[in-house]
Amino acid sequence: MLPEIAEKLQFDTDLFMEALKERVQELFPFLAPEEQQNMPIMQSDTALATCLVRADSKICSDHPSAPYTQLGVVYKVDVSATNGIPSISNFQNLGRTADDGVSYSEELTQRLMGDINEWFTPQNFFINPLQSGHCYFKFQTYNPNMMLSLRYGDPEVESTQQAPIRSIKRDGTYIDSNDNLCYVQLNAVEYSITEQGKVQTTMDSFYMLQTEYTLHGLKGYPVVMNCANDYYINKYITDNGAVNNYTGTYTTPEGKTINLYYGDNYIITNVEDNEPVSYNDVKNAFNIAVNQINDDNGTDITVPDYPVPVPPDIDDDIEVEMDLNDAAFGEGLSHYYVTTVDAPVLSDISAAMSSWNINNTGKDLYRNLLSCRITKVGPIPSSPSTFVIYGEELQYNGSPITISKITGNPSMDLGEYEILPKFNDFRDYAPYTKIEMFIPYCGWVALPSHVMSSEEKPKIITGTLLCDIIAGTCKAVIKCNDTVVAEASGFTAVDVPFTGENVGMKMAGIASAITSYGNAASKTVGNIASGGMSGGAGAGASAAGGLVGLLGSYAQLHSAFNANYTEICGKTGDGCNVAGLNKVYIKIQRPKTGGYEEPDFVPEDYGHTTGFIAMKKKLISECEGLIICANPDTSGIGGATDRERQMIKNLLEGGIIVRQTEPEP
Amino acid sequence: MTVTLYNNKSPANVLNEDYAAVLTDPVTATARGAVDIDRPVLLLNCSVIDFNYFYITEFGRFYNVTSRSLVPGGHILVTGESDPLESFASAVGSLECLIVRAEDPSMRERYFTDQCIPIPADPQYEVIEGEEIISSLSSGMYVIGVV
Repeated sequence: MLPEIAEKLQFDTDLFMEALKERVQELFPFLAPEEQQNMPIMQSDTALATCLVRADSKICSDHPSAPYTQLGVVYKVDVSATNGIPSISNFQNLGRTADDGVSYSEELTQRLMGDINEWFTPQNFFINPLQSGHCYFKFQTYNPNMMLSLRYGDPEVESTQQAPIRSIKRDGTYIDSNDNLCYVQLNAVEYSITEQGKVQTTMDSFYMLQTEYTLHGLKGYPVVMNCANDYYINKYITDNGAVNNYTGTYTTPEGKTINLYYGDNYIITNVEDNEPVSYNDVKNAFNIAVNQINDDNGTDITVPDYPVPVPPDIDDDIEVEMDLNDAAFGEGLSHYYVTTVDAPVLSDISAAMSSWNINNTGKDLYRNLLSCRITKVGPIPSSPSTFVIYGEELQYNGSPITISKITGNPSMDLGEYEILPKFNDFRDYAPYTKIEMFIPYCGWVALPSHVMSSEEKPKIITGTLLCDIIAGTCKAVIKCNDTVVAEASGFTAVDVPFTGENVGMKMAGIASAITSYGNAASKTVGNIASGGMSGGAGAGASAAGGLVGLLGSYAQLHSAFNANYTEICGKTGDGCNVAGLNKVYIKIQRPKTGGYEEPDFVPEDYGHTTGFIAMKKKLISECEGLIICANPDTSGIGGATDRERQMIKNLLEGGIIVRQTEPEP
Repeated sequence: MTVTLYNNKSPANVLNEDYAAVLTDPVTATARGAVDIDRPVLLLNCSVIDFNYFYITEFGRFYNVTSRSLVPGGHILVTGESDPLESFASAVGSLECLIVRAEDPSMRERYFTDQCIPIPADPQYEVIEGEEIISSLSSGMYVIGVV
């Protein structure tokens, strides 16, 4: 049957290809030129095929819900060929599927469907019915629920299983409902109509596979649906495992024998020597662009421009010893330790480390990354132990260096203080009384005068010094009865630069480089020392570049670290905190109370002569002694002339002395 | 006119002044023409001159003596100035006023700034010394970062 079909379906391949390319550009203008070569052209292995395809519109990306928007329209198209001219007919819109879970407005739906209809109208959509068993799909989907299925031959019979797009992996495989490994058909970068197993530029006789056998189930075994170049499907494996040569053959006009086959399982062989080849090699040879679903649920898929990388075989058991204090590394790439070793200069510590006789490059690398900073902060919440790197104990002046891993930044209690008043009046407060607090590392900080305690309202001043050992900064928080009244910040550490460079920046650069490499290669530290070092097979281009750069910076750093070190010169300004003022002081500035034996400047009869501030409303008859009124209202004095009222007002404002008399018996 | 003579110990700005009658009975006074209620000039029918305060019954007011003269014939010519504070003592006493300053310590607001209290320019200091918060400061510590 097949030879007769082939004979019947001959047509001008060149003309067809030319027209097809033009249609591709018109139909999918949003695709890049190279992508247009990978057009979703449905091919049938018989003169009649039915295409079921879901259409995703790029304009779906304009939907507010993008990239989760998907039209989910299924179209059915019949394919036929008349006189060698392919055409499609019976183009049907089967309507939207129900599993995308997204609803659209009627307007949007019409708009989207209109676009799809325009794309897939019979006059715009070419289907090549000629290529046997080959099917190309390239699609973009925003809906992970989209199903891909292929149908050949009988339009009513589904040829392939439906493959949910979201389950299709990067390598084009997916697991079907029966847990079988299946492959999605892959697009070829180079579009061509090929004789089975051979690329052709002119149309020769060809064969198509019998559809009902070719794609049955896509179950369990890889099926290459496009054999380009020198590969073709040559053998098949029966269910009982027997390998059979296909018995159906076709002889090309040139006398070449093309083997056709049927069955569920296929072996791809090289057309030259008929030797089996692996599916992966075929894919790599095709330079196949793979449609993939991103893990983030269906965004656009980009076509990689290099073969799908195969993870290299590496020895994951290789470890780099970094057993400082036998403590596992914490999170992150930087770990901090504190030591009280009496080594006043950085060079002494490094000199001690340099005395190791360590030849391992990896270890040298890590050793040279050590930087030192002097700080005068304690206690450090950690437990001290000896400084051990790679099983060797670091010593200085013959004694082991005690080092403790910093597990947390310390906070120190600044104590409790109560400031008692001296005058029990306004003079205990601003601006007459000023209160300042000296906080170690932070200097003087002014406290508001309301922190003054009193009998009615006792007030306790407390403080906490929060230290960031690694940054070398600290912050003091002063509270009065649990209300923050002052804050101050300062420095607890003095940086010790390497040859004048900024150690912190250097360390940050190193950490960043290592992190970026680690992210790119997704390798453990151990892999840096193994295959990753060479940037070899399997490492992505970006990872290799990062490693090269990293090695370069390591080399520079190595020389820098080995240079002469700058001695610690000390720091002025904030350095005074380093000098050791480790107590809190509260300084209270008050007015003097008087002269000899500190009599108060307020005389004893101050009340009678001047009067105390009262600011109270009261009946004059209830007062005693001197009172001075503010703008008294004398309208209640009946019988007095206006002059007399004014005199009374003047007296009250100037001050009168209310004399309480004994009631007359 | 009936005038009661007093000896007043209190100054004019005292409410409920301390005064004592000089004579047991009021004296009669005659006017020298019109009598001003604020500054009356009266001829007293008495020879007592040792008074500084008087009360005119008809006016119902107290007066501070501003001048006294002995007139031939044994009379006293006195001029006075009204003391409205004492004259209307009960009415003034029943006034409810905003007392800005007061002698009574119980009325004192201690924490209002009193500009009348002199503040010396040179201050005095008190220093409260806290406990040592960092004991390991003398030897120091080195922070070593390992990447």
